[in-house]
Amino acid sequence: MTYRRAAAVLAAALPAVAPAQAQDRAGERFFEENIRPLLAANCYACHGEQSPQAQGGLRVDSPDAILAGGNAGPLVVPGKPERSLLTRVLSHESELKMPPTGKLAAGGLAAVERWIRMGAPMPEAAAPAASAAGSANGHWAFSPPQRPDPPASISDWALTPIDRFIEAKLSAEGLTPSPEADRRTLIRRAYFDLLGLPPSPADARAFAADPSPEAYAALVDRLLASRHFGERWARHWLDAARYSDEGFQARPFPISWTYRDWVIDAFNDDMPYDRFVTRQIAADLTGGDRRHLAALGFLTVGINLPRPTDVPENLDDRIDVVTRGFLGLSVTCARCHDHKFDPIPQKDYYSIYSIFLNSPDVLEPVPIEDAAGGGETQFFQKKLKMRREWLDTYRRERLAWHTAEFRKPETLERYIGAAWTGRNLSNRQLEALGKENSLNQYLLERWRKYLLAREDEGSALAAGLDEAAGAQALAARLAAADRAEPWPDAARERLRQALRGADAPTNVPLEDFWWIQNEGDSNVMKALKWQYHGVMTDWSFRGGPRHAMAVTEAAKRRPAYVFVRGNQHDKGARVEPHFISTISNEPFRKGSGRLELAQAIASADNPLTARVMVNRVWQHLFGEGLVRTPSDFGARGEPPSHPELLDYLATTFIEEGWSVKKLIRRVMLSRVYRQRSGDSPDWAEIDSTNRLLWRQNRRRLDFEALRDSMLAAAGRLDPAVGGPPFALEARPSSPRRSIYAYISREEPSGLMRSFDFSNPEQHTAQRSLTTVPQQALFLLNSPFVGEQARAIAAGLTAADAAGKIGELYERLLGREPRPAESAAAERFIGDHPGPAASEPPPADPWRYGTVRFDPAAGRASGFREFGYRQGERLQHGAILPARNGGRASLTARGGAPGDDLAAAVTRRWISPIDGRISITGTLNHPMSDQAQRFAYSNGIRGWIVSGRRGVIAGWTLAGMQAATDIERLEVRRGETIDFVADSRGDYESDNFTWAPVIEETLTAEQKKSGRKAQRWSAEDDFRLPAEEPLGAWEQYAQVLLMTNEFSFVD
Amino acid sequence: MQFLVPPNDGVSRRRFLRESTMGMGAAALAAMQADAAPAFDPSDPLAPKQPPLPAKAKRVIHIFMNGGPSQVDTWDPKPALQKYAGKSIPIHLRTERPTGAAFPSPFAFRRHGRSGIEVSEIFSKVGEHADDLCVIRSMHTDVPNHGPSLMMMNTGTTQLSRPSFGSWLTYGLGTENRNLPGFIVLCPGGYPIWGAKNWRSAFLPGAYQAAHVDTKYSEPEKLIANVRSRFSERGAQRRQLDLLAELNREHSGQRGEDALLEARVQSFELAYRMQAEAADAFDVGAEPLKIREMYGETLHGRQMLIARRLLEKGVRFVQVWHGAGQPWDSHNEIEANHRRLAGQCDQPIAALLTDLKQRGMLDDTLVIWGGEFGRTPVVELTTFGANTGKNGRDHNSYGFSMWLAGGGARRGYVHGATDEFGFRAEQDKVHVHDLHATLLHLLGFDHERFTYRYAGRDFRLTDVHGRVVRELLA
Repeated sequence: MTYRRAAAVLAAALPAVAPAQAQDRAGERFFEENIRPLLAANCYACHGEQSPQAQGGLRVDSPDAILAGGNAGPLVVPGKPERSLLTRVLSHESELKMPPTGKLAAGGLAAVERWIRMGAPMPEAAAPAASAAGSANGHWAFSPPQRPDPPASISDWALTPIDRFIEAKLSAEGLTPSPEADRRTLIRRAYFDLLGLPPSPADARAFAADPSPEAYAALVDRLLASRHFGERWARHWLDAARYSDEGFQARPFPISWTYRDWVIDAFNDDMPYDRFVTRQIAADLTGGDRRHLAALGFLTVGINLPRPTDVPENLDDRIDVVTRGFLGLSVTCARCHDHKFDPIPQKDYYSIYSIFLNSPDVLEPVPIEDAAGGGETQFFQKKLKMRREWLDTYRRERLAWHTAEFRKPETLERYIGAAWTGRNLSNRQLEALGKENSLNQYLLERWRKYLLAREDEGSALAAGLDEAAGAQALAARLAAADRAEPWPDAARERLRQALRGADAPTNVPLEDFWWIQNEGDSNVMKALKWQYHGVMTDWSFRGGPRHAMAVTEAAKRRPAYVFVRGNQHDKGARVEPHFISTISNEPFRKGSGRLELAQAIASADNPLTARVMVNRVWQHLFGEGLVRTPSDFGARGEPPSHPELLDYLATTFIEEGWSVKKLIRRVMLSRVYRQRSGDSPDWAEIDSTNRLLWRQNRRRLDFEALRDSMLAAAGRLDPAVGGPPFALEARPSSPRRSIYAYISREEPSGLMRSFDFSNPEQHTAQRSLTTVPQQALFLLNSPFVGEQARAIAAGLTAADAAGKIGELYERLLGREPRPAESAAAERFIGDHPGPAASEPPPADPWRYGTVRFDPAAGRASGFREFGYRQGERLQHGAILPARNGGRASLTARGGAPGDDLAAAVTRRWISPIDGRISITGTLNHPMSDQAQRFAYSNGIRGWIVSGRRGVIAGWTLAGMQAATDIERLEVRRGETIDFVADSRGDYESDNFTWAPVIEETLTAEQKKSGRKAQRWSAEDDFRLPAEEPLGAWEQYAQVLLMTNEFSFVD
Repeated sequence: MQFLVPPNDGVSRRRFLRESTMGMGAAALAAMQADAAPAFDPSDPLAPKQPPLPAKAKRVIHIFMNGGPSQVDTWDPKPALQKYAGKSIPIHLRTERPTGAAFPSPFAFRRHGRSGIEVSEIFSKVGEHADDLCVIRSMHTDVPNHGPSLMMMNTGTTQLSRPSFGSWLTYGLGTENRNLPGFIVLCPGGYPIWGAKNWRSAFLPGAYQAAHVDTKYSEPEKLIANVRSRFSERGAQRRQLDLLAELNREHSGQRGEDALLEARVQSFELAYRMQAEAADAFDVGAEPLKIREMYGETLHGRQMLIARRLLEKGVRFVQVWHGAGQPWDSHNEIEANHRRLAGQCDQPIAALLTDLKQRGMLDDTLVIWGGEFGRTPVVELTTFGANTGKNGRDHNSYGFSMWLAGGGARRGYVHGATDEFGFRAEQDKVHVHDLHATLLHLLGFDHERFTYRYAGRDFRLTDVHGRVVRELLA
């Protein structure tokens, strides 16, 4: 324990004197010679090891114990004897008087005061045990799992070891298991548990009819081999990984979904779980196939707050996802103080913190496959390069600007003055000093460190600083010596080196730019980074090569400290990377320590990792884990209902090569899993929550399984695995599986949240399960359900009602209708009042889409109408940018052009009249100051084009607007008038507004006849197309989709 | 996959709820066991509940002046600024951006009511209610940045993902009208910055997240997703729901009583009624002309009137934002901007107070007015990339004003004070945590015992902070 650490840990906000290192040893000697003997003689009896119970929660027989203090608080405030509890009790001034037998001799008290005034120096202690953080002693989860022998079978029910563990507990309570579920139930359960999809009618029929005892095992094997297995189980893991497709301020990640796909592949390939763990923490350090770099998304898809002071928050998120995710430990509870319930001292938190602190994200996502050649690749690579250059140039220019500022004499004076004044202050006090004087903290610390080092080496530089105006004088001398070239004169050159030498405070390395940036810089840097990442997102959505959002090892390792009370500006003891100390205290030595962390987690010797994972698997197959706090295996978590079974599964899991598929198979082949979920009132009296598993649990489909089931029932489900996300609420609805829906962290889909979708801001161990009317509204009214109902009804093949009803029951519910159900259906169809009479909608003269536009010829050809609608926007795909059509889109008031003239966006008006019109409107292409400065956009062009006569007018705009009025234009019925906009070859930042109004100009005769002029407003006329009411069979199909039977698995 | 352990015949639902975890896992079970954590029924998460302690307020409306209104231009007059006009003041506090000399308020203050509370001319109509107001002039918060301070005001932490006040409240109290969401956020023109994070439920179940409504529109489907069918008439829906009930009965008959199956059946009937109720909530045309005129037939008038209709219909928590982004963020031209902004909401807020009072609702409706922080009494200087304006004020987390009305808040009272210049709260300081503790107290909760267990910890709105400010209580 060095002196500095003691001071920082204890002193918090209090002043301490910072001595030079040499003084440390003298101080330690003083402690050994004067203080320790005194404590031993007078205090150890009640506050030492030999005391059965440390009185007042205090021990004084080790430096750490002294630092820790007791129930009454810290014992010592270094530097402040008058404020230290120790002196107060020893002097018998306080209510508490020690030693209780009488005051120490006067010399003793004086020695203690002197020692405290010195800063309470003590020798470095051995690595402290997790004293304040409770003890691992006896908590089940910290002892390694032992392979237990399954209990003997009691009946012939138990088929597998799992059954014997369950049976033993059941019989101890006087319970018996439930019989096996029927075949239809079993196949439905197996399909949803393994694939998240319903069985096809043919599969269900075949399985129900197969008398073979092997049929069930064969079914499980077949499902485990399905590519959809990975999709289902990846989604479970993505809850734990707080997966989302965007970071701070709803900016899409450059490419998040390769991580999601990597997880899917990992489950499909049955990647051994230890490797699954290791790669997600350290794939960049494990070698092998570069596609595994995508695994690092586990770390990188979390919160990404943009400023240097946000680093602790960003790293806390990573520590949380790693420790709760893999270890079932709430390590982040030890961020501000030692964990209150588990043996996790604060330093363990900061030890892991140091690992991630030294594992920065890479700015440029790493390619994990080769780009195809060709125009599109070149197009995007050029864009990326350009934006990368903007960033670098900006940083270099601004660094030079700030550096010049830092070397001005008045700036030098302020920093040197403050650094010298604050040379003995705690970090926290230095921070306050810097704030008070509006100084940059990073630079201030650099100056302090530099000046203290000069003082220690006896350099003349620091010599005059104690004088009045010393800082001013030094600043002037330094500034006078500042120039790019070295001085021949050694003294002057030394001064120049203090500004420009390798270790000079004002020689800030480029990678540290963000520590000195001001608010303006930070805004610009953020925007430039988003620009860069935006190009990457676009490319990835449009079929570009896959990349990974990776982390890497820091070029230069940064030291990490305990933050006192979690305050990053109050640095305490320095920490070195190591694991959770109660599990292993071995220091990590390689680089950041990240690979060793991964290996320590993925180790067969780790008592938690395997248990936590087998419990998660159990939870997904039964609804509840054996431990019902799946991410809290600590003292506050619930103990396992079947500890031996948990250990049996964990040890078997490791023995079988960490195979998740084998584990799932083992559980699913048990008779426990295959039980009915039906009732047994007597047993429910004894165990109403089915903790002992006397039956299987009935479960409700989660959002993904519900939506996917509807698509499957409608025959629309797209079986493609992997790829960029789609927008959930775009229309027509995407037939892709729900796992591929775009997940917003900032604006989570209300629909998904109303169905208890996990909160993507944080690790989710188990979703909640609520019933709210918004869920019913989705089933009753959403366009999605309407679409599926129509598709289902359209697919009916039977000729008569009874046949259709049978078909629907088979397809939607996997069984035949019962007579009462058939009767109800026939009544519903028979009594149906028929379609409601609806007015045919008025003809709409507007069309929206893209054209190939040739300005020279004035021709717009190849009109492609937008087929999708996302919110208020019409576009070419279920998410922007569309693979085929880029960012081209239109809203009521404006839009965005596509890539180039081949995809110019157009709002097309087809004239319903022969006559004369006028057009009014404003084309506006807004650009912020910043966008102008960095030329984010090269502007847009707009044209009004007649199908008959070619270009009527055209405009080129960048960051401005133009009136697009045409006073007079003759049109013929059916003639197209296109309002075309193109990107001038670069589509970024090209959103525009343009909502023209077309008005008929009446002839004098027409006016006289009392006719009113027609008017077509682009904005007012832009509305959702009306929808046909559902027919009788469609409504009936919808009812079946809404039933409890459709939503539950027995 | 979701799961659930339903009870069987012979086990009462009540007992089941008491004993079971119903899919919430042990977290909920533990939460139920913790002595003051509210009972949580996942099959009906918004069922109305009694708070554990006597409550003065039953519902809350939080009028959020996002962007940060300036205290010295609204509720905290500082004549000393005149004296120092154009000169530097003796208080140096670090601000977000460079600031300069004292900048006296361009607005006149006048005393109102028997209490004689001084109010800026820009809020003269609200000022007429001075005797009902409890003005806090000594608010302070932690960070002079919009995002973190919005988080602090709404969730009690600057950055972490924590449930919002409204989510806590609906978790604790449920809502009185289950045909409407219990927690509704009104904001014209889109989102405030940091959007839905301001009203998130975080680790509380999704049912406690607010429904956000852009009050620029008036369609009920902006209130509740899918609240209107585009392909079924109401009559057709009724037929469908009758058939559905019949089929679900048949299904239950095969399986026995099951609380979750039953809850889902009920949720369809609730949804059916919600369709009508949501449309009605937004129909301000149903209000008499003189009421509409009292609020003013403007965007803000209509928004405030909708808010009152929602409160009246039994919505537990309504949060009304001034507008998208951060409208009150007057870094420049404070005179013109603050005058315009207050001009938009002064009359509607005054009308709301009058209206609540005349309906007898003010006694048990807690009205909260304020921003996420205040503004500097000194002028802001221009900075590259951040601000190029003039005559504005920078963010100020050291001191700002808020006021409460109704719901058990003390009437005609001014609490605390800032320094001579209105920069920093000095006397009877009230941190946002203290405000939260006090609000919870008025609503019948001990903020230290109102918890939810998540990730091994019992979380509170006030974390480890906060104290009830007794002086603010009537």
